[in-house]
Amino acid sequence: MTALPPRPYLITIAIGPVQDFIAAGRKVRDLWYGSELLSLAARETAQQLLNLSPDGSLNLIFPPQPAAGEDLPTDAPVANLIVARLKHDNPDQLIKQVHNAVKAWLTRQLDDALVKFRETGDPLETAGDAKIDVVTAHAQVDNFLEWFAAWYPIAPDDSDYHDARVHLMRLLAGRKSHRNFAQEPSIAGRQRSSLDPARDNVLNHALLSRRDRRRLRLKRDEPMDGVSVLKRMGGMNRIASVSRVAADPWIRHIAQHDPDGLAELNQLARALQCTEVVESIDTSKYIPHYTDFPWDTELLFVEDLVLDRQNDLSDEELKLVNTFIKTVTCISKRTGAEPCPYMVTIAADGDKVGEALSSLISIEHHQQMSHQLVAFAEEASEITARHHGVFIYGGGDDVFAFLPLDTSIACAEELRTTFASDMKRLMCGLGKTIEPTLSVGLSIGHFHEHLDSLTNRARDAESEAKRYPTPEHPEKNALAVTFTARSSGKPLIVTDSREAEPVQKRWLPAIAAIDSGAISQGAYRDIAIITRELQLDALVAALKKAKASNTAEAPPWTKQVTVEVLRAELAELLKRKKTRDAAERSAEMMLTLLGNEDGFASDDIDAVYRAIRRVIDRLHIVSRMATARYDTPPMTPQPEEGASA
Amino acid sequence: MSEHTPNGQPPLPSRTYLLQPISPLLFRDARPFGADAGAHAFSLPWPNPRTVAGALRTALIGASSPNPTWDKDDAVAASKLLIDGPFLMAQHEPGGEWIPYVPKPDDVVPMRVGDDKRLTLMTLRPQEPTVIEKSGPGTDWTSAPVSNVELRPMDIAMDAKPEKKAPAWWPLEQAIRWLATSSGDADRAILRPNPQGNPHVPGLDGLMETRRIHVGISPNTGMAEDGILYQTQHRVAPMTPFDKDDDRHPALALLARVHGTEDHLNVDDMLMSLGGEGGMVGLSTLENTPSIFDFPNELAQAVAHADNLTRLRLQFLTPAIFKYGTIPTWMNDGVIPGWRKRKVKVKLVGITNSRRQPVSGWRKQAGSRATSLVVPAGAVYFFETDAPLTAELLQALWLSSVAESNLHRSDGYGIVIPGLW
Repeated sequence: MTALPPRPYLITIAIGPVQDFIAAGRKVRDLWYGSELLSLAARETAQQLLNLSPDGSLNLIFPPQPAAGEDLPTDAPVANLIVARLKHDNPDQLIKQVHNAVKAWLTRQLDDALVKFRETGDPLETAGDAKIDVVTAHAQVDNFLEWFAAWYPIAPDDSDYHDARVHLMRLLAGRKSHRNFAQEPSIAGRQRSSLDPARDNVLNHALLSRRDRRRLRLKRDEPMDGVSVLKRMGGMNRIASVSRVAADPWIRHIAQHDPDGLAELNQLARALQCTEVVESIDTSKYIPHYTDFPWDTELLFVEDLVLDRQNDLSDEELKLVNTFIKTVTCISKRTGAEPCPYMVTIAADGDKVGEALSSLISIEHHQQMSHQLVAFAEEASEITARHHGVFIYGGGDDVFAFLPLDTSIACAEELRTTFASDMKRLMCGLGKTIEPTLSVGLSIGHFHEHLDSLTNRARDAESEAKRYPTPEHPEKNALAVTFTARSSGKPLIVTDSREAEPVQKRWLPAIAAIDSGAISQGAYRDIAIITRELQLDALVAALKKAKASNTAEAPPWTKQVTVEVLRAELAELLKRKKTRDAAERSAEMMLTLLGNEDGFASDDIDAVYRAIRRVIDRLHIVSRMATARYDTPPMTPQPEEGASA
Repeated sequence: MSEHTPNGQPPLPSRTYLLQPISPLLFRDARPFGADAGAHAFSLPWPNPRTVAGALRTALIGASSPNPTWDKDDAVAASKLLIDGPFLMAQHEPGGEWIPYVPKPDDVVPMRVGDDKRLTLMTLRPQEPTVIEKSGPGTDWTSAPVSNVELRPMDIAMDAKPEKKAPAWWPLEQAIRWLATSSGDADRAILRPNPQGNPHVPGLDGLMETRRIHVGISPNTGMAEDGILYQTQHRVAPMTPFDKDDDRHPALALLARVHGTEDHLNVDDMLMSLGGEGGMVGLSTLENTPSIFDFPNELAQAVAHADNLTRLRLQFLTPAIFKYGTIPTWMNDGVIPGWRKRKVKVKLVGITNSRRQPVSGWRKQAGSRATSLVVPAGAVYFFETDAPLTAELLQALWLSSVAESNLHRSDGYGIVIPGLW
């Protein structure tokens, strides 16, 4: 049988699982390295395609082709979808070779992680009583990557690139509709991993020393699978925890107002860095904005402190812990500022990117788009750092990060404007009118909540932004901000279209109003009480019902309730409301904020009511943000709404 | 009490039970959970068949056993109870009829298309086996060591993103209509106007979700511990229909059919425990046998009107466990378990399914079971048969289990309903 001559194809490889795999984590490191590992695996896939293809036969599109003779950069993020043009006689065979090479690479990553674990000084054995069941761990790592590939012929001069790409992506979607998998090795009686219930525990806790547990960042007896061991041990430690992110506004504050106190805390943290309660952050290279206090520790949150009851600290270490806690208390008293345990999870996703890609008809244009998306991911990482956050991942048009309370709105705005202007410049340069935008979800939560809840709520906020104002007619390009009190599982949600310039016209004025003391942090309660006094919800429901049935039969009073009456009544009650601020000034400010909302000035009483509800929620969220803005007037302690514990 | 012949088993008396959740239910995934700060117990959206089978066996044997404590004879008797289910039931009016619902099939993808974001349904079918030249289009496929499997990718006709807000459960009647539609015109078969007149996919989201915040209690003082807040996720079923936000929310319950000896099926109603944390459900019998157990006339008619149709679909109503992941080992014989007595062979040519899910569980003395990864309910398998389909052939597969092992079959895994394509 004679071999067929090489012919040109478009090929694509999608790897996974993405969202589920990244989200399977208890610590920020699990999230970050999960995403890093996928990006590295995607990079390895693209690199192996280059390595295993005959010279000059492969032209990468996503990720962008490196310069001739060079490898793909190791520090640029690579999305999980690889697209390339290939001239080959048997793409199926090449893709199989690449798949095997990537699996071998993953095995090496686990081996490297195990070597790192071994270097702690405690010997790692491979016998039945080993600390880690290496055989099972390898089988789990070998099995975890999802792999889907498709190829489609293309004309030698690429003249049918656009059509070929459409067919290729449909072919891939058809392949991905079958989610094939192999059974995992599993033994009855074994615990399941705390990060992924599909996989067995590979740790032998009876043999693990305190030092081993610390290396693996384990709670005592915490079961873990091989893939999760790789997440905990792989790569360099380039990440900080959510507690450090939450504490950042306070640390910046005391760095200015009590530098001696901060120096004392640094000294104590250094003394405790070999224990379970403090971990150092490598700020020399990766997170320089945390240099003032390069430690991960929950000891800062005295009131929320939960010294893990299973931690085995020595008496000496306990003394240091107590001194640390007392020092935090003293600093808080001296500066009048306590660390705020709330922080923000941000999830953002590009809008109309698929449409933009479809409008481009040449490989070169797609390569330019590919370069631009990589550049944006790098910009997003820098923007997050500038706003004192921790960047978890950015692949293509996707961003996920943790931010302090006080910088989150500004960071969201900078990400949005940067993405929009980058894309506009690119598309204009390519002669296209489509302008991709960025929908952003910000979710405020307590750092002690399960990471799964924090990430899911951020994703929910992003979805909310994507389908605003209605699921049937989404405008996208929106900003959704949610707040969930730790003691209440129900989030507040405020979503605004970007067209309304919500940051400039709604969030910043509301923040300024509270920062300047024009209205108090409890002002949202005043409006909430007034709406209850006016029984607005019942009124609106009755009016809607009357309108829906037959206005001729509606009660006569419904005709007398006009939006003018409602607005006047609201203004009067606001002025009469006794607050600690000057009532008149506070009322005017709140009416200004209400006037900034969509619908408040309309004739539709339902729209007016929704505007009032939105201002209540917005001010509630801004009040929470104000607890981490330490240069504002001190907060009047008030019970959290919905607090039960 | 009616006589049924569960697939592959001798005829046994059977009884159908409705399980109405009374308290919030917790169907734990296998992740460890303790009352630590920030800890979170996750609940699956719907119980695995083994969870319901185990709870029913415990309740029914416990109710009929003379022994105050569970003994070896009881364990043997329990293992002989065979369970079909669980299936979702909904009651839309107080005191009204209970309607069966099934997991939405994976061969229909709701999408919004055009400037007006019109809802449309994309039908997934295996690509036609065109004569593919070696240098033509292709996809990878990691083959399993099983014969009679020639998988082809699904034919994708649209590029829009799937609509996320689509119901997870379809009324059985709608699922049957879809299974009887060999043309693949899903818009016509499925879409119906909602109260506002817009097309939508009728169906339900399933059990509702609720979360509870708990305070840790010190074992030494019996008082609440500072900062120890942890969360549990639960599933809730309304006991009566109610209206909220202009929508009608029906009462929900689980349905299961139990095959066993009459001694163990003499319970008419009782309270029993289901899932973690002692969730309570009320067990009762229904006056009329739910329609889900009857082979539908619509399918019989559809196959009668089709000429020499040799393309069969199987839609999974409960998850399935196969040794080779998504590929059943019985394909080596080319015979679907429900057709063992019939001389019809099949070739598996397409699968559409969602991502695998883990199933484990506990045994009283042995601790945790080994994990199995399952093909989730809703998966659709496409076959080509070597003989024309008949109503009798389809009836033989109706609510049969295609699980590979007797144990999984007796727990209710791999229950399918057939259709055409």
